[in-house]
Amino acid sequence: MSRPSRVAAPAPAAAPVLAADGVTVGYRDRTILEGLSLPVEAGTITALVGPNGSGKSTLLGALARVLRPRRGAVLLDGASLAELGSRQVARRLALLPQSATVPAGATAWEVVEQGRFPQRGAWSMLRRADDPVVAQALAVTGIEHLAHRRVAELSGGERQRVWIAMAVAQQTDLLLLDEPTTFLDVRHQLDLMRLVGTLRERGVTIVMVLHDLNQAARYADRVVALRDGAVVADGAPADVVTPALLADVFGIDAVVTPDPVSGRPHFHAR
Amino acid sequence: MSAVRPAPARTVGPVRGVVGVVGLLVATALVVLALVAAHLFVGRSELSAGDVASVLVGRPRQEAYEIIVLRLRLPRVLVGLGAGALLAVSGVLVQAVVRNPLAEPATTGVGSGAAFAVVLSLLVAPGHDLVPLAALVGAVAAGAVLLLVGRRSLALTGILVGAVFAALTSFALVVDSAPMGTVLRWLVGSLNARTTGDWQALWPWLALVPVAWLLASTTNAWALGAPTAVGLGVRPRLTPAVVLGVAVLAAAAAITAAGAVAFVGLVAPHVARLLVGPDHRRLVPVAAVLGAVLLSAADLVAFSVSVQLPGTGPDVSGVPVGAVTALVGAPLLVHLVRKGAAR
Amino acid sequence: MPVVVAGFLGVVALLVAAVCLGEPRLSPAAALRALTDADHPAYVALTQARLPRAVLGLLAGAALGLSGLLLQDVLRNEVAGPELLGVSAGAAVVTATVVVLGLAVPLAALPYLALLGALVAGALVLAAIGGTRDPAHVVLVGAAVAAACSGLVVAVVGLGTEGNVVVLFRYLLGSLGARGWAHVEVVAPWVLVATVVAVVLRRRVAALALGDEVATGLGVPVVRTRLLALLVAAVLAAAVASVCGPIAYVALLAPHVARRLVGSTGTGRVLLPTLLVGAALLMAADLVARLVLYPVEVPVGVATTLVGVPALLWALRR
Repeated sequence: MSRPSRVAAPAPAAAPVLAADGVTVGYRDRTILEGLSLPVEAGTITALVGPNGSGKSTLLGALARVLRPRRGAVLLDGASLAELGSRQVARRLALLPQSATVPAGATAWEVVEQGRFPQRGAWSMLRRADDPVVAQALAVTGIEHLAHRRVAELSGGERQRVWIAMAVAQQTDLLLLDEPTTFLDVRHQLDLMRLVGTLRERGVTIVMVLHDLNQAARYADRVVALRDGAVVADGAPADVVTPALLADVFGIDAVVTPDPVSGRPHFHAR
Repeated sequence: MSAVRPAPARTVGPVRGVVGVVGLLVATALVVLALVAAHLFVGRSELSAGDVASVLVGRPRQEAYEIIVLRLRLPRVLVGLGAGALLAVSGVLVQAVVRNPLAEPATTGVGSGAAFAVVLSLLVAPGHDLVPLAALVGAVAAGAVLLLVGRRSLALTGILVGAVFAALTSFALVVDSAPMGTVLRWLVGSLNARTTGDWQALWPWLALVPVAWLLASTTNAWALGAPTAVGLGVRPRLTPAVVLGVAVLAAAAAITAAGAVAFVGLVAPHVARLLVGPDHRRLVPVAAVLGAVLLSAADLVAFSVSVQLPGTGPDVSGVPVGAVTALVGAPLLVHLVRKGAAR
Repeated sequence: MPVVVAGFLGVVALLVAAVCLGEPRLSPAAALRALTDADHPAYVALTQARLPRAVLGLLAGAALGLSGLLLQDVLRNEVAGPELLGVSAGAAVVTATVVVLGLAVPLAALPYLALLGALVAGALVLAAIGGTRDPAHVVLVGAAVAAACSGLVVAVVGLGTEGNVVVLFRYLLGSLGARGWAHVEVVAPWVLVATVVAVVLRRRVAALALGDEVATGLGVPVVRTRLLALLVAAVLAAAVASVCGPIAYVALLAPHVARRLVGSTGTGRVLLPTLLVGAALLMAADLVARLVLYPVEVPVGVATTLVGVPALLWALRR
């Protein structure tokens, strides 16, 4: 493994808290991302968008070190993830994957408690000291009343909030979400996006993959559009969600109007 | 933000809270004591309760009584308890790694690996008693093969690796069928004629039970699926290797002492999960004591039947405990099936 | 079609080899003379041992391949096979019990009893699998049932004779040794009937492979088709197991090989190649088992396992 020695790309005002630095990622013989760089600034919400197969989930996986880059590195405060301890990273960076296994019979409390693993480590048991953190994570996500219910018996929206609570209990300053709204109804999608906003106000940096472009435009500070494994647009929602980009990236003919509530761009397909 | 009281009952099983788990462990410990007593007092030799008690208090009425109770009966029950606990713990860990409650120690192919090594040792060096060593080496080797080959599906690979070792065993027996009887007893699993030496070889391995318990946090995190576990800082290659390694060693030790007894490693974790839920902090100790109880109780049945049956006895030729667990295991399996269908 | 022709030629070649090779070893021409001349010194060996054995291998291999194909397509599971679904083991328990305990059951009735064992074990596994398609889950349930069954077989064998090697191998591993025309006659009708049923069912099974909803949409009676196909698969495996014991990994492997050769996964297109591949696999394995340690005979189940497992791992690799 050669460690990339190149200097970080032309730096934005603040040093990025998390950055993909020329990463090449793939599965077996297929390369998905090639030499891609993406710095993420602290305290922002970044949305990754793009058509199916554009590499946005792969990028998130690389940022969350679920996928290991073949070349390049993911830098956390300038240090390569590959060289940091696994739990050391987990204390800084939490991931909400698209699919997770629910152990048969596990309660919401038991699952959320797992978020304390990075703090406690492989060989020690959880302590009473972790209980308030777990309770608070349940409260923040609004599922205190479900604490002692079996996760397998919860609805899709409730279950998703259990997983988010687990990530919250990890008490990290970075949170990566992979299509967090996919299985949720409109109301729960709204709740979730507001929760993301609340976390950002507490100083958490958020990167999420979103399918719904309007959602991305409305809630993110920055929208990054990918196509064929490369970044094709990157900037404030108003600069990215434009008819030209929609035509270019998604191949749709659309008009973009300001959202009457938020003033953010909102697209309508013709 | 409202403060949430961490409610005392965090499990959903019938046994709740630390008090419940400790109570359960104490209750099972009493059952273990009862089993030990039963094993010591029941046997072919006509010893009265007083005779046995005289040995236990250190003043045997006859020297022969001491040999019968302490050298014949006691090692057998101790080996049964220890092997049962190790099999159950191994089952818990294998199920955790594979993330499937139907996995068991045999899923890793260690039993077949041990059997093959035993056959080889009997063929190559028939005079020397290399059986325990060979069993240990064979079981560990099968586990190593699984770790090397089984990247994608540990369960499938383990069963296939086990099938290869079973075929190799048969192949060796075709060449020379002399070890047939020994191997048959091995494949079924038997506690007949265990000695103090067997117990002395087994008990240090019981240290794997606390090791498995210390791994509880990791196995709990691993149970959430690979991406989630990685997100929590679990190392995706090292963790399954370590957990599986402990499981293989525990199974190897148990198999060395008692043979490839079926179903204890499947049923004990399952019953434990029904009682205390899926959290390994509780699951490991509860499954361990349940496994000990199950194997020892099944052995009591096998032993009693052997004493009754004409032509057999509590010696090597007696009914093997594995036959009892297989017969009891089948209905339990049906129960698991019905539960699976209901879910 | 070239695959079918090649497969057919391969099976014929194996048939010739099975008749010619061994002790005494004959040239094909000499073998033909021996087969037609009742006074030839090798006549009895060829007509009463080698030929029936080869034909039995052909039939049993084809039956196992077909059984695996039906199970895999109907259950939409790439690791479905009678050996991993407990079907073979269930049949073996019944057969071993009958034979070892010397119960007065005529040879021709054995398949019926074996079928009963196969169906009970298979039903148990299928009920436990439920709707899941996770290969690991299927394998684990099958392994648990198979473990119970082989525990019973070992117990039964232990009860009977003093560790009779032949008996154990016959019912734990499967063997084609010491089989005659009587055994062929037992298996043949089952295999022929089941093959005809499978041919009739092939389009419906192919529809099932696309999923229950799609199949229903196409007008296929889902439950009835699945039950019938499973029954046929169990019948095939049980018939083979009643005569040869549970020969492993032919049923599991043959459909995978056939699909790769044909370059298709359609039940109809793969059916005939699967029959041929299954037959060729078992006949080749039996040839190896018979000759490799001559005069000692290796149970053919050992050969199929040692070849089948690596091949299966290769076929399933992603």
